[in-house]
Amino acid sequence: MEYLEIKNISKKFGEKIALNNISFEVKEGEIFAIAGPPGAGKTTLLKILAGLITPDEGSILLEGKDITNLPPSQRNIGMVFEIPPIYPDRTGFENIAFPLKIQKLPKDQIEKKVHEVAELLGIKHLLNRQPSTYSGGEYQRVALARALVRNPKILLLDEPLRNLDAKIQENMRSWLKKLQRELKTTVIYSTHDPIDAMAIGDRVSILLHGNIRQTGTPPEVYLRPQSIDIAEYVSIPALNIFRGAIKEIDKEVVEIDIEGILKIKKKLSKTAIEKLRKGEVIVGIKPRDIDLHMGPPSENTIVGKLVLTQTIGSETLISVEVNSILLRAIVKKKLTSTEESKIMLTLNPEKIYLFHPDTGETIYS
Amino acid sequence: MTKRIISKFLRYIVIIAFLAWILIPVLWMFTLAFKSYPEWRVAYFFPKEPTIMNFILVFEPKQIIGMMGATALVDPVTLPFINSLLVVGASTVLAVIIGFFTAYGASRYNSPGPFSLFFTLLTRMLPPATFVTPIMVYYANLKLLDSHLGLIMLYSAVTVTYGIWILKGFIDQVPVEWEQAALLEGATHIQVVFKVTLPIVKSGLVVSGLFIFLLNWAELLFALVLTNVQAVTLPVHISKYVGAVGQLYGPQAALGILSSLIPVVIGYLIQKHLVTAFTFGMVR
Amino acid sequence: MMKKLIVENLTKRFGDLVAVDHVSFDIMEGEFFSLLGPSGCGKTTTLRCIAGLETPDEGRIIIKDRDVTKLLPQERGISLVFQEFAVFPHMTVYDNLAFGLKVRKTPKEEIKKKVLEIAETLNLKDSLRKVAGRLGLSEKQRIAIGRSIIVEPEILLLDEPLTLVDAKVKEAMRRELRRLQKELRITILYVTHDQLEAMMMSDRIAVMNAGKILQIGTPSEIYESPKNVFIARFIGSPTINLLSSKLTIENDKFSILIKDKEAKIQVERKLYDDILGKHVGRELLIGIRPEEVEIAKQHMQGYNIIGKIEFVEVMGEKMEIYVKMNDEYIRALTPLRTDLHEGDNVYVRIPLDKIFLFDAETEQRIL
Repeated sequence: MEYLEIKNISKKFGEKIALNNISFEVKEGEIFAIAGPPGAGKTTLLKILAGLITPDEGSILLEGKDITNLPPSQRNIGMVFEIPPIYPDRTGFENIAFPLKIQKLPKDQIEKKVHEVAELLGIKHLLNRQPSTYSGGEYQRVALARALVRNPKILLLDEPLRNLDAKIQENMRSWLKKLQRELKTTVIYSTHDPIDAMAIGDRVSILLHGNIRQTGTPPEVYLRPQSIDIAEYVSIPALNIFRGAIKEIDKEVVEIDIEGILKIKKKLSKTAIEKLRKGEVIVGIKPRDIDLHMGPPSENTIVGKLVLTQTIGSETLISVEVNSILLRAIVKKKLTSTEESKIMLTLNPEKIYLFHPDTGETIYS
Repeated sequence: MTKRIISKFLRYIVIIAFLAWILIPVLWMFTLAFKSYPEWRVAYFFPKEPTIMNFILVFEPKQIIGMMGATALVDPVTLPFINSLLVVGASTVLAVIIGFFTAYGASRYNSPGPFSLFFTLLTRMLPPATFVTPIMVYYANLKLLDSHLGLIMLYSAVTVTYGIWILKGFIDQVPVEWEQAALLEGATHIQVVFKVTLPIVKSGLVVSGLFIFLLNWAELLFALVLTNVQAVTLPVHISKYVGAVGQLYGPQAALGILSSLIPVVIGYLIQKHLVTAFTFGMVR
Repeated sequence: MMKKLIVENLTKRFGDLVAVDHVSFDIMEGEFFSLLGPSGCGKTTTLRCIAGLETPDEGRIIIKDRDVTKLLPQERGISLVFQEFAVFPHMTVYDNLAFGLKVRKTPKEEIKKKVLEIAETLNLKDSLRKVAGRLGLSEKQRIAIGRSIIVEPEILLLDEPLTLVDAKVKEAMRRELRRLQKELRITILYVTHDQLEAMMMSDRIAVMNAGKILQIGTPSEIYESPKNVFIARFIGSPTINLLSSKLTIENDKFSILIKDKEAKIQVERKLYDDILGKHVGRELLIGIRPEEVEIAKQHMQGYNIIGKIEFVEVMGEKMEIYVKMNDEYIRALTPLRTDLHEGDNVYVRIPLDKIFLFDAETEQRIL
């Protein structure tokens, strides 16, 4: 039995299927991230867990107890929304104290608990101020304090970092993770940004069009996506996708012609090769797996025209045109070539993905 | 460059003309109140011999007889003033309270259909003159004519529409997540309404209250038809200065100034809320 | 190359607050220039002054040799795109693109010609008859840009146009915008709080804070040689490590002792005397980018700092490791490794040739 079990949850709004047969488990004390593009159903899912939306089907078990039909007030689940629930007409203290006042705790206890949580989150200076004077990050901290003050069994965070400055997002995320490690609260974290999800999550679930498509540790999901849509979703910068023609198949090696740009040979298992019988395959290459080629051209070299360079810190994202096909790559060393000049690239055949042309399923060796 | 100066000049002309159009009648009333009897009908602004006689007459109407061409006695202003405060105050409070809950329901659970919010405007689509007679007949049977209760019921029913529409605008601005957070924290729905939403839209209550108060404070037609002696309101009383008793323009203007003092004082007292209301939704 | 925009000593005050404090810069023709800084640093006010939406208290704005400081927005030859793309949702793409020309009373045939031309470059030709409100974000962005450049502005001002877009789409749009700008040779002034966005698109960046421009340079110049602590911290993701330390002299060598860590970095005195000589005895901050920090599980030559892994963040094929040493953290960005776990004791190496040194008090860079 896991700490939280979600079993076969479905939800429709009118004709539109918001969530389709969602099942997953969350372990006590972990950060479980749910990543999916806007409109995938993340907020609906979190609100179902909180009890704010009733699912059409399925059940939710917390510590083995079925809470599916429990009203939100009796679940002891805290939630921080994308619009933080900080009431503009009262101070930080009054906002954080709100849930305790509802529970009719004695005044001195409220005082003590609010100060404790404020100390922990480093927001003591915000207690006596009006929310209109807060910055974006401060809003989220006070909202978090309010959710944590009653010591919830699970903390749901719905895109808590959206609408913050990029730099503040980054700092808040590691601050949040550090805080979670101290408190050991079980956290479910939703975000539209796959990188954000992988960075904060101990495990990540990919939610696409109302379906949980894959759940695993960040490296599992990132390095071994089960299908083309997951691979496309988790890859930022965008995955290079090409049509590939199977040229030659023998017992364990296939040769794939990638749109005339490159021919690669790949060693595959028998079952994998079986799936390539159609003679077609979709090839996915992460920009990070393509790099500059040094020295004389060899088998895996691609020659093209550099059309765009974009600095990412010490690395450079480049767009290269090869036979009127655009290829994106991340160059790790300092780039000396200028735009419009010729450039040589190379890639490791082991790192390319093969997807089934009909099902989109990833074919691993 | 000259083109710009000309356009600036024209802009000022338009603004000044517009202001004059609005302000001159008010100014006229103001100066009239300080004019003595012979000057009332003369078309100049400032009184030659300023007097406060008009104000005194409002409170001591006995002196009117024989003066200024008055032919009958006007009642003192005291009773109509108290009536107005009572009727308008009570109906405003009632309209805001009912308006808030209706607006809350409309904002949170509005379902399209025959009972859409649009129909609350129905009472405002008919000219009041068309339904004042049926109401009079009703009230006569219910013994509500010339009663405070009758006026309060009617005033609050007619103006609640404004309360609903103004307050819905405010409640719509309160994210539903703010309420859901409180639900999660163990609050009941009633607690959510009273402890979360209501305090947040406080300034909206005050603004819609002021607006409704102003409407009812100046209402004449219903009061004229439905009251007689006991429940006469200030506008009805003011209207009596011109008519059967004569043409008492001066005291009428004086009473106009006095009557507008109440809204001005209220507006001053709630200034803070007005500012909040106008910037509402921007704080988020 | 010609200067398209010159901003001289621009100052704007709101009451006691100096929002823009003697800001000067110029933008070349065809250049993508970014104003980068945190919320409230004055970048948007600067842009609004250039657009003519705010009146500066001091300074001059020159667009293509013409002093426009006192001119109205429509007389300046600029176009502006806001956070919410200025696309009329009820109009067709064609009417949206033609809007600026129509209000300028351009002849019909000319409008048609120009709209078709711009639709071609922006890849909107097939959508011309569609209603703009129904299109996707990327198309809306292209329409907004098309609308702004069809009137042939001298300079296009963009105020955080990608803020509301989600991460996936944002990345593609950055590429698209940069490609368009190059192809059409548009001069762009871009305002953003996102350092990655600025780096990925700009020819040059001006980093702003508290109303002042702190540094102007190409993306790699700013990344590789930040002038002070603020810039070093603001540019680059993950954020640079800054370790408190003290500079002393030992055996004719400069010795930088990292606080509480019994670790020190030593360099020959002769080589660095001009730079470090005057800072002896002072508190310094050592700056080291996380991707340069090296981590080992066993003690090796040069891995002098001992710490414990507090937690890791996986960023795709890389991972950011938070190593705790006493009460300070050091972050390292490494390729994905399976041998490092939370709670492990590790040894950290800081390569000497990759460090920045800042004076702890003035926060200015000295090496």
